[in-house]
Amino acid sequence: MSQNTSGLNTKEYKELRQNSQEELDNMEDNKIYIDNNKDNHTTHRNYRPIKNQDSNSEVTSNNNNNNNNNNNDNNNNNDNNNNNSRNDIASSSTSVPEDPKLKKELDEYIEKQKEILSSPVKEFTKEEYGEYLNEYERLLKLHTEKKITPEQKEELNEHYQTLAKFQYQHISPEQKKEYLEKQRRHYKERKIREAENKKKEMYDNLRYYSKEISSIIRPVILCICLSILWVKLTNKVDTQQIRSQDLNLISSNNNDNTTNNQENDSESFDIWKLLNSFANAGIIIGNIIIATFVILCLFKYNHTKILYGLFIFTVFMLIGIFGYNLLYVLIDTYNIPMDWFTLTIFMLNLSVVGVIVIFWKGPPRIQQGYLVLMSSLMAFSLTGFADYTTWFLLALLACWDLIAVLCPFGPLKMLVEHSDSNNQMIPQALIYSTMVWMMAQDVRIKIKDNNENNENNENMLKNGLTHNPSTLFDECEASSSCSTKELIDSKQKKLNEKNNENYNIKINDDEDSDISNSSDQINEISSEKGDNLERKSLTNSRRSSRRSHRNDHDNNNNRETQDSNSDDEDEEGLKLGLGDFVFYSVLIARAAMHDWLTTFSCAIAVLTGLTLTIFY
Amino acid sequence: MVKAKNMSEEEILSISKKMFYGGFAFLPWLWLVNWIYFNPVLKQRPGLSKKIHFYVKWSFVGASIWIVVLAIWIIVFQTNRTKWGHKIDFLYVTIPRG
Repeated sequence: MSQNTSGLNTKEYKELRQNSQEELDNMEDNKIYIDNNKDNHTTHRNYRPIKNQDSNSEVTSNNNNNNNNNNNDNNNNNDNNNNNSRNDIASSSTSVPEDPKLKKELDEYIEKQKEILSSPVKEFTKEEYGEYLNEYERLLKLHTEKKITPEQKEELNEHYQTLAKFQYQHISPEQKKEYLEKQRRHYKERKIREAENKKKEMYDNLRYYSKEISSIIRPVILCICLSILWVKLTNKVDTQQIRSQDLNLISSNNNDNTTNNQENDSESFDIWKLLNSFANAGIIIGNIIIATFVILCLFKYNHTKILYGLFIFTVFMLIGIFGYNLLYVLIDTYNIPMDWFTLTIFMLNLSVVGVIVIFWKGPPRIQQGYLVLMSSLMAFSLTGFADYTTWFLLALLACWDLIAVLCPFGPLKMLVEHSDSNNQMIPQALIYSTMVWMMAQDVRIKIKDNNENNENNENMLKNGLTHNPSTLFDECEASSSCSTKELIDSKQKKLNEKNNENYNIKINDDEDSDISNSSDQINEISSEKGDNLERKSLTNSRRSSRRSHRNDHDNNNNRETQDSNSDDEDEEGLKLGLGDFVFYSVLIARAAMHDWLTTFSCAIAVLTGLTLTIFY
Repeated sequence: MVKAKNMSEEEILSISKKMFYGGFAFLPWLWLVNWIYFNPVLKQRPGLSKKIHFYVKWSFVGASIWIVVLAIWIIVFQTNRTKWGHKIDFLYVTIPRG
């Protein structure tokens, strides 16, 4: 056995161990190389330490060694052989000038290695050594089969380290030198690979984020456009012939409590007008507060049926009445000769199916469309008030939002806490509906399965956590992030169990990222390229998605809200509360009452703000 | 909202059945939603039961019949309303000016 023998696998290893003493001695010489070449070791492919990728500086010696043999790349794992040959090529051409920084790092690393390796280790007798090796191999096997526990992993590392030290101290100086040289090369390759990986990861992140953001912003833009459209359609005629009659109509129809807030534009500014609008806004806010408490009470005493009834009624009324109003105004202003028959059928369909789709089942696209439509109708109805009422309303809403969410007795906070402590689900509709007056962004997990792009060996599974200055989930953020982690962990476990041949999973937690509100969890799935990769991965992904489903249902008792939603939106990672939609749309629709320039500048401002809140 | 392709067959069957019968309450849009919801799934998963095919197909047929009828009615109404004069005033949502 020459020292150049690389790529020994466990089987040969075993044979060696069972053979006679000289072979054992031989092997002792080789052992380091064997372990050293674990990079190319097929059995080691699946060993993925769950820890941060860039563990260069503050890692313990243990980890250093550990890293050394299992920092095989997640994406390179299926061309190990290529890798191997490439390594050889690389090693033959090490004369390429190195980056000084890298060189320094390498030297440091080697020094450290030397130190570690030459630290005293207990002497083994032959039997002890055999036993130790046996144990090591057992652990390795366990690990290969992915049945290893964290403690065993620790043990494995320890064993490996001890063996390496022992062997290092029993080889000749030249061998030592060569060994170190080899270590250095491996470390360098690893570094390079790491750098490449990092770059790739960054690009992936970027791509992912842009996708996420566009998926959030698109509905918002749609909602805003719809509101602008409504306002412009009704407003155009308003300036032409009817002079604010439509607005009168809308307001007096929609809200009984705002009967006296209509003022003529020609009337001069006066303090009464201001007070009046303030009072109107106050009345609306009062209604909202009462509604919040009613919801809280219903929720607390488990009248979920009544709650659902209430929400269904609300949504029905919202779509039906507001939609009808809008349509009526449009028909009236544009002189459309519409008959009752068509209108009735149309409105009936729109509202009933809307309720069904939102509260029961329906295609996600149509559901989203309905939500957007609802928000835009809501926003449109809010713009119907006199100038100052809307502004006061917005300001008061923000205040109430803060109070309800952040105060210890805030109803919404109580609600969330209650649902957390009682393992009780906040109905999805409630979240939507409460968010009508809440600027909140919810946290959702994005889980994308492998079939999306088969060509890429790795996919990012990620959970983006965004944060809004005045969000509901300020205090639940921790819990939600931990629940998502749970979810991912359990998902990973299941995947590991079932198709450990096809999937390699790596979780990369950088929890200690200093911007604490955006903790990402990156889950990389890399699939092995098989002959029938296409079909296999398709079925696998289907299976795994189902599994995640089941998984979610298992978890449902703990974290209903987050979990039940996590698998719902495969398309949409982040979910924006409807409150945002309404809030932004009201702002812009209000601006749309003036002219196009104002409208567009307002829209741009709002969208910029939205993007910023998502990013930070 | 669970994606339709991840559903079990029974679930799809029950939903499409409910939507199909619900559509008889003058809800052609529900029929159309039913079709939009499950038609792609039927194409993706060929092995689904005949009943689902039946419900989805007839939902679509029903919806198209509704659309055609409505379109005919609107066309007839719009073209003939001046001819019919004041007799049909009760049909208008708002009596058009001019």
